[in-house]
Amino acid sequence: MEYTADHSGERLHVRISGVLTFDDHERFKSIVKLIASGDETQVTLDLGQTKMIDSAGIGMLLLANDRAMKESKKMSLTGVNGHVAKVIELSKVDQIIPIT
Amino acid sequence: MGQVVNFDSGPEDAREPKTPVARLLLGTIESANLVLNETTTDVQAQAHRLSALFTSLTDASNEQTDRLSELVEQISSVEYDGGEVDLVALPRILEESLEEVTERILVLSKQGVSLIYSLDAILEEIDELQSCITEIEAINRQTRLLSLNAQIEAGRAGDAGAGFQVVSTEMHTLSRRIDALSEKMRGSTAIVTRSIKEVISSIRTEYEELSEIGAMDLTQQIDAKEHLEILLNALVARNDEIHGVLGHSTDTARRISDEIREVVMAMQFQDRMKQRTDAIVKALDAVAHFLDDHPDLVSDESGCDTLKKNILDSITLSDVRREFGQRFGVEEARPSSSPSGGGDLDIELF
Repeated sequence: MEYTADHSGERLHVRISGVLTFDDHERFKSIVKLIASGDETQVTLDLGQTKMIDSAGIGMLLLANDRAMKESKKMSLTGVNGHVAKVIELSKVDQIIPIT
Repeated sequence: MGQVVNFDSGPEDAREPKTPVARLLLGTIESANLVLNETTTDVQAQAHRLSALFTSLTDASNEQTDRLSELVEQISSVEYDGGEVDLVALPRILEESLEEVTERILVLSKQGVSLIYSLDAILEEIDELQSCITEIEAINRQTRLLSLNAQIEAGRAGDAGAGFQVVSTEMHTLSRRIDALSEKMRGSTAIVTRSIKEVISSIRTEYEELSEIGAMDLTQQIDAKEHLEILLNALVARNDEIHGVLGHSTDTARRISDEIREVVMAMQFQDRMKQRTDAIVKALDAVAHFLDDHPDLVSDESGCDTLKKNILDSITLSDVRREFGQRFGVEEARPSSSPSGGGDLDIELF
């Protein structure tokens, strides 16, 4: 997994590329820290370049959402497609984290 | 049923035929009468037999219709856990079960990652703790060196440094105790670190095992869900088709039953044919009796009038009697006032 983060006013935009699996949990922790520590009130995780995600990856997204909510921030997902879209549909994550 | 006059046998044979024409007429009428009687009896027997067969066929068709209706109802649902489950609802039930399994996997995944994050945080604190221990050990080494220097200086000072000698010795003892304590702390932190790393390693192994059975990347769940949807949709479609075919068969069976019932109803009108035949037989009987009883009156005008009256009186079926009356030049009353009081409606059904 690779990621880039853009801070734009009230919004934190994180683009995640590659695969998001259990092996990426350490790297993903820095995204969680970004979400928790920044001043932005809106967080968008862009999964447009994410090729594959496993259940641990979904667990990490849910964890990030929990952390955002704890800091009174609104998190959403964008650009979901292919395998990622299927997993999100199957796991009903879209009922917990808004998809834009 | 008309009375058959036997031409060939019985006590009537003893009587002498009156004239050749009378004998011929008598023989013809009696033969025709006999054939008509046999025919009507045969037709009646066959009609009864056919009617019985059709009735049996109707019963069988009705049973078949009932079975098909029952089958149509049964095929739409299955019994499960003491209740009826509609086949159409089955895909939803299975999908919900699959979603429940997936949801649990996600909860476990989230908790697993969360646990690892917590353990990582503890490891970071332990690293900090170990840095502190290292710092303490460095300070302690410095302290020990100072106490050693102090002991040397105290020895050089002689008696005046005796007190200082005691203090520096105690400092050295204290330094050794600190060494022992830091060593013990280092050992404890090493054990905790090793334990936490083992837990993380164990969680990682669990994840790897989940990955091996396809639970982690959810590919199998996605495939299973898609296959399940296809199979169950096909099952429901097939069920609908069977339902349609059986429903069509039920309609057909019901129509067959109705048509057979109509055939049976139609066959009951053979009785009308029998009554008309009986009327002819009776008319012929009357002619035969007249010829037999009054052969000398055949050529007589009054005899003919008597014969006409006998013939018309013997016929109870109004339309047949009316037909004969018209031929004989006798005005016949309307069917409603006929002696039989029945006419076309006077049909005995069976």
